[in-house]
Amino acid sequence: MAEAASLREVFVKGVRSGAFLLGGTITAVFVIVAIVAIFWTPWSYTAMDIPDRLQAPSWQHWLGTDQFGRDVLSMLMKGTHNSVLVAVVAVGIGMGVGVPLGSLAAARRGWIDELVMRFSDFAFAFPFLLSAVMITALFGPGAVNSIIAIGIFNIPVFARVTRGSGMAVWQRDYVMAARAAGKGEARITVEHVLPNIASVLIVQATIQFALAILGEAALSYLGLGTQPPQPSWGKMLAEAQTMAAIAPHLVIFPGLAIVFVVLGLNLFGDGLRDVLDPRLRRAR
Amino acid sequence: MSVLLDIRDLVVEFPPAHGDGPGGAARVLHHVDLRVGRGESVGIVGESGCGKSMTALAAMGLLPVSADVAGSIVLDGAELTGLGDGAMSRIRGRRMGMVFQEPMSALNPVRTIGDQVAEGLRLHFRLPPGEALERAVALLERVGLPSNRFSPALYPHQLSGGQRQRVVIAIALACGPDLLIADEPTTALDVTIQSQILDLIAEVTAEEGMALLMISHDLGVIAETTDRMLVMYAGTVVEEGPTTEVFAHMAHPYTRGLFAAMPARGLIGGGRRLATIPGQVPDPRAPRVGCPFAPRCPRARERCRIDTPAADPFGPGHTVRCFYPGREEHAA
Repeated sequence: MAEAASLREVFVKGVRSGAFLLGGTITAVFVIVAIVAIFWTPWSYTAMDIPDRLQAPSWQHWLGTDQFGRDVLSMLMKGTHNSVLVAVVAVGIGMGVGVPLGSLAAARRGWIDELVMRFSDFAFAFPFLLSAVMITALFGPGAVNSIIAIGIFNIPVFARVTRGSGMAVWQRDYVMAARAAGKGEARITVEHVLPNIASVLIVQATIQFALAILGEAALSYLGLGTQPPQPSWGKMLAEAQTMAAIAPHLVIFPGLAIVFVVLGLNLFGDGLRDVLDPRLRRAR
Repeated sequence: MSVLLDIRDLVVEFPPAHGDGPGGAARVLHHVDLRVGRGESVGIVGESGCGKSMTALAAMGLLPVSADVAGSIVLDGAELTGLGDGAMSRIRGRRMGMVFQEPMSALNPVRTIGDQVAEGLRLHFRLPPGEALERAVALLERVGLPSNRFSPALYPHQLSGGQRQRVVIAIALACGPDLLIADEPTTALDVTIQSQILDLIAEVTAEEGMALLMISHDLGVIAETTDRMLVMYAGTVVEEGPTTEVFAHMAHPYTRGLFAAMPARGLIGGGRRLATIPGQVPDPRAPRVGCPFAPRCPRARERCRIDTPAADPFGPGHTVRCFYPGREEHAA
């Protein structure tokens, strides 16, 4: 059984774990950029400046300009903001619906469990991106619909993880003891089951966060996600594709942003798991 | 003495699960009768799988959902069988408290001991958190964990096994239940700690006028803590009576076998081999004919394999399910 790790212990172990530190730093940088972009970008991300188009990185435009003369750094920053927003809401939807469903399945078992798990199987049977494309094709492209599409596919992931680890906790003697003390299912779930599986859920959330960012980039790349004039990494890649030969910086920077944020989140998730769950680390 | 817990004709069966192989339902309790008076301490003794824990879990309404339960369980005049989980939850912890075998796993590792003792009070009496914690500190003190040495902010892993069992007892006592069920409360503990925990249980139940249902495989534990005892074998109560009476006049051959299998104190290394009872507990899925103990019984005769003995009086308040009860191994 994982012993209760105090925040201080988590911090100390975290500093020792290279993956946690590196991943956490990268993630933090992106989150800060996303927040800063709400208030400030070096240039307006919509301002076109045709005479200055397709410029290479310079002191004026750190990451250059695109075919309309827009500042790439500003678009990238605003794109970070859009990506992070989509991912946060989508993972929030997934956890908000999936965790209660999984908890219910673990507590009640029987037909409720069957129903939740068959629903998960059904959702997993479709490739995520194809279904997301279908949903946005049905309800129209846009940031909100891509959030919903990505969020829906996070529900079964969290439902399964919660159910699986929750069931293990329900087998524990202290749950029996809690029932003997007169606690109902809801209370046991909130007070005993969820705190004991929190670390698993947090780690899963960081991984789903990375996948959601990738998903959003893919949808935008296909023109189904974030719509102009809002910039997004996927759309920037799609637009820059034809100009990769004459202005490579237009492809490189959004590509690097995607690579780094996904890498950072994965490292962060791995590091968190090492820090929160000593058992898994020992098993390696 | 008025009756607090009255279990009559309790039958518990588990329907065959997939992949269990041939065989019907596993019947783990065969028409068990058990009465516990107000303030009385009653013991159930028997080997693993005899149904003693099942009886306790049935009283608490904590049997697995797959169990089929028949018979009647009455607590203080109110029928408990057929109550929903919500209604049962209001009784558990409030009217009946339970102490578990494994103090290591009966406490939630991620919550403080003060919090875990206080939560019953918050749940059943709707006490505000501050007041509940104050009472929890008093309860911990009551079970021998004074707050100057054992802060309520400690986590279970910071305590020893005996100390954790004290916390479990404090949780069970928190709401002042009428009945304390202790299921092998000392089995997982060091021998040196065992008697302290037993003394603590005996002391608090006596002081609060609480009834005690002590479940153990250890005749010594039963002798020390109970007024009346039941001996269970393969889901059946084979002998019942006042503890002193049963110890003085063991009537059932199984009770005698259990007694003979106890390690004698002071004889460690004395060269005497421990007595065992030959054979095994019968398969609960097999249909039952005759006395369940007959295949292992030194006194068994033809009749034992055909007829099932009823609970016959043997002495004052003492009944036994045996055709040939008594002291002599070779009775007529």
